[in-house]
Amino acid sequence: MRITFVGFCCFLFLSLGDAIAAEGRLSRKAEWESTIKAAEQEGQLVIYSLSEIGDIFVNGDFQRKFPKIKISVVTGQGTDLVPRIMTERRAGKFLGDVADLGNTSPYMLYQAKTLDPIASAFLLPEVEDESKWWQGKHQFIDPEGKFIFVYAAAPLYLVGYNTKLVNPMEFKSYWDLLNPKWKGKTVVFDLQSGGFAATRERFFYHHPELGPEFLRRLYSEMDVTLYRRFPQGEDWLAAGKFALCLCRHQSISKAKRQGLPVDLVEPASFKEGVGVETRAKTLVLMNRAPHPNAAKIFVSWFLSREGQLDFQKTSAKYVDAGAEGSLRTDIPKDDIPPRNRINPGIKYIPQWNPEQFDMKPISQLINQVQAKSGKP
Amino acid sequence: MAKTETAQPQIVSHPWLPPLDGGLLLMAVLIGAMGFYVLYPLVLILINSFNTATIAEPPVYGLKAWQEAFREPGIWRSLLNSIKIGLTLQMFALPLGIFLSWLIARTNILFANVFEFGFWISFFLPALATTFGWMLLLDPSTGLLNMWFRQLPLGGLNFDIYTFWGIIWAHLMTHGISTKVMLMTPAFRRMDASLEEASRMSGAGSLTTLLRITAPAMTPVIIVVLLLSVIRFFSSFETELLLGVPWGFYVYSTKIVDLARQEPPLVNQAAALGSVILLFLAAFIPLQRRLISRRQFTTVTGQFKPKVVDLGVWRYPATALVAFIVFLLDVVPILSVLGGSFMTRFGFFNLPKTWTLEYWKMALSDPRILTALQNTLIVAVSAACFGVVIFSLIGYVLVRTKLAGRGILDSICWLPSAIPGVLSGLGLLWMFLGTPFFRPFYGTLVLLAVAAVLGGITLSTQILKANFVQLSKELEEASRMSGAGFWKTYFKVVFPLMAQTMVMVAVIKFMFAAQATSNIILLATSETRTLSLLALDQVAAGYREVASITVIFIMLLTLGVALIARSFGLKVGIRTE
Repeated sequence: MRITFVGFCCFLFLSLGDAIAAEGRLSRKAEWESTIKAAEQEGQLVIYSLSEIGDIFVNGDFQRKFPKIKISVVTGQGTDLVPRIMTERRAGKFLGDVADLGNTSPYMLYQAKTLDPIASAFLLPEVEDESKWWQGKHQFIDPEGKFIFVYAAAPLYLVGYNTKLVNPMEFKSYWDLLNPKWKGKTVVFDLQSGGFAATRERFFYHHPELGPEFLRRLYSEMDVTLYRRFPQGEDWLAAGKFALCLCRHQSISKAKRQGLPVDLVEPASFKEGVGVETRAKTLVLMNRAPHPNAAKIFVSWFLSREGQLDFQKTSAKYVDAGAEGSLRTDIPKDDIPPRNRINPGIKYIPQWNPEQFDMKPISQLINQVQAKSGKP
Repeated sequence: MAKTETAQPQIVSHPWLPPLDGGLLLMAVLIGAMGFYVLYPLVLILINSFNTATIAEPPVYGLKAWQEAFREPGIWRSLLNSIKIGLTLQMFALPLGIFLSWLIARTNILFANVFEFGFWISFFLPALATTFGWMLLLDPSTGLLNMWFRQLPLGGLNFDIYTFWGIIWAHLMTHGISTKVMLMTPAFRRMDASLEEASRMSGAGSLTTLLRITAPAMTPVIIVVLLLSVIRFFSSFETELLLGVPWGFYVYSTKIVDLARQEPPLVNQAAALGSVILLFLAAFIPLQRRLISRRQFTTVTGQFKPKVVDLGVWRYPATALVAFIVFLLDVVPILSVLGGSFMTRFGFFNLPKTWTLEYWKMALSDPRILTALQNTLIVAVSAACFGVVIFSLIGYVLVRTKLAGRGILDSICWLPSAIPGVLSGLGLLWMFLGTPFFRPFYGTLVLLAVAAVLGGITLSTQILKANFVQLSKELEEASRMSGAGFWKTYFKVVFPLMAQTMVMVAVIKFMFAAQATSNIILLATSETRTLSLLALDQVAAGYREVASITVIFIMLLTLGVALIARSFGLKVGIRTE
């Protein structure tokens, strides 16, 4: 009798749990559908985006799936868009709903308190479920872990080489780049160009086994040649004018595809480990957004399984590095080029720690070293 | 009676001009409008140079940005480098420009109009493509010309584009010469042949006449072109980035762009550095005004003789020289642009697949191209039409009236040239968002068109002004004596005489607007994106070759407009016999 009563209680409890869960699902579904209706009434979604990413949003499936929400994208470099957004807001114009501005630019927006916690726009359980994401958690840039969401990442390739002049097996450590035989044979994408060059120098500077000493010796002993515009350094490398190039991996991969004798040293071959970068794929939710419901629908759909699959597929068409790998782990990565994949079993060092964003000590060090060697 | 006699000449002298009160009102409107357009963003930029807060913080004012800007490593050396490059370049470019303009406009060389258009083409070609083209030819180790020279018995002749003289060469081949020929030729064409004939009658040869009669008579336009070139140099940085950075050679504008473009952007420090160019202008504007106003430079009078000089036996060598220079200026960049679009990799001739149509297919199938083309046409045509009307009015008022405030208006028109593009774009954004009248238009093509009309104020007004100086008042007075009013005189007399210059200014404004990036990028959205902004987006996404095709579209558009406008200008303008 007692067993029957306990069984009955268990049955009642489980049924209640199911009912609550079902009710929850229904209410989430109702919330999703009512938000879609509200978003369709808003009729527009404004995305501030880096130039190279804007097309992914415009040409992705979102526009086809939600035709009543018209996507409008404002593109530019982060250094253009942050002053623009701040000027607009100071003039009382709150125009942006969401933004994808890379790493350091959204951090400035975070510091200016212009962002809402992105989780407030997660309407779908599959987006909220952290177990579906790399390392079993959502990745954020901001120290509070709420605002700047990293949705894709790739290994950091730092060293390109001329295949006729260099044996890549020679490199076991980044210190091997300082071998005197490479003196005058290395071309470097200048730090002043920002982007990849800044990520590279941050990796060297903050790595415990490399640090400022590595940069000091690189710029003082190796007689490196700097360049600022693609594809100047890559062309020199391919023509054999230089043997090594610390340049943007996409440019080297593209040159290789075009048939030039260049390639990249696999980062896993360096004993210092493999950096992993966001490739500027971050998402933020602007506060005081003019189309808050459209923003919620976009963020939820874009970070869902369907949205991230579409992102991987669309990025293959619009990004020169090929399809980018989402940090969602529950979607296939077969179409992602091997060099854009995060592989299991490798220790990756994320390069989106905001404590390392300050470039001043790094540029000061390089300037001092260059000034001593007679270069301004 | 005496009262009537004294009053009469004032009325009769310029009856078609607005009466005194109307004139003052006109000047007040012009100074007010131009002051607002030009000074307001400039003042905002200057105010921001004293803002010591980061872009994410509320403003805090102080001198820190100025102190830090001028403590930038290598800043003084870069300023010295800019001056060295600017002066050296003008030492070659200016005499060559004067000589070529004279050959085209004042002598009987063959195909003069074709050659003149060749200089226009060079002016329209992107400087970056020209520099990449010469890098391919003159790289000391891999340059095609250098490799060819090495095979010749020339004793190891080897040119290095990555040197000071390499930078000078690249500037000469980009816009250093073509700008001058383009701007000066219409003025040379309006030179009265009787002056030169008088010189030759006194025993002077053609060269002596050029040096002692023609060139001095062209002083206003020469000074304006020289000053514009020097100022333009302070905002040029692309050539130095490509040819100077690899051997540690930086110019002043590179430092400004570095500060404005770094993360986080130090706009205030960049603005502090930009103010040095304003100081330069403050010194040179009065000097330029004094040089132009101390003498009479009228070359087009009622007895105007549009006759050219017969070069005799020198006709063919002179034709060959001009043809060779046009060849150098046009062929390398055109091949560079075309090579960049048809070659799998520009400059690499030994690839398994050297040539491809893939990039053209990508460019032509880009769904954004039609909207961008439409936007470009709206913005550029607005800039060309409104720009010519507004700036010719300003130029005319500055030269033809004695209204108080002309010095102020003239100075205002010079100021925009001192602001690097990366800062002027921000200044315009601040102005448009800070002005309730403009705010509703934010995000539309209207503000892009307004920004484009404002682009190139200095060049437009100063060139028109320098050309108005050449026109004798007697032509307008004769028109008036025949009973024509202001507008009839303007369209029947002034306009035909100035047609070539106005057409040239309209085409330049069209080109500036079609190629504009930094001053409109902060105002555009994906709906209002122009071709030049589309090209920027394509470069950012790694599709440099597709971007070069977009640039070709801009060039073709500009060349088409230039051809139409030029044939119109040559038909209605002054023609030589």
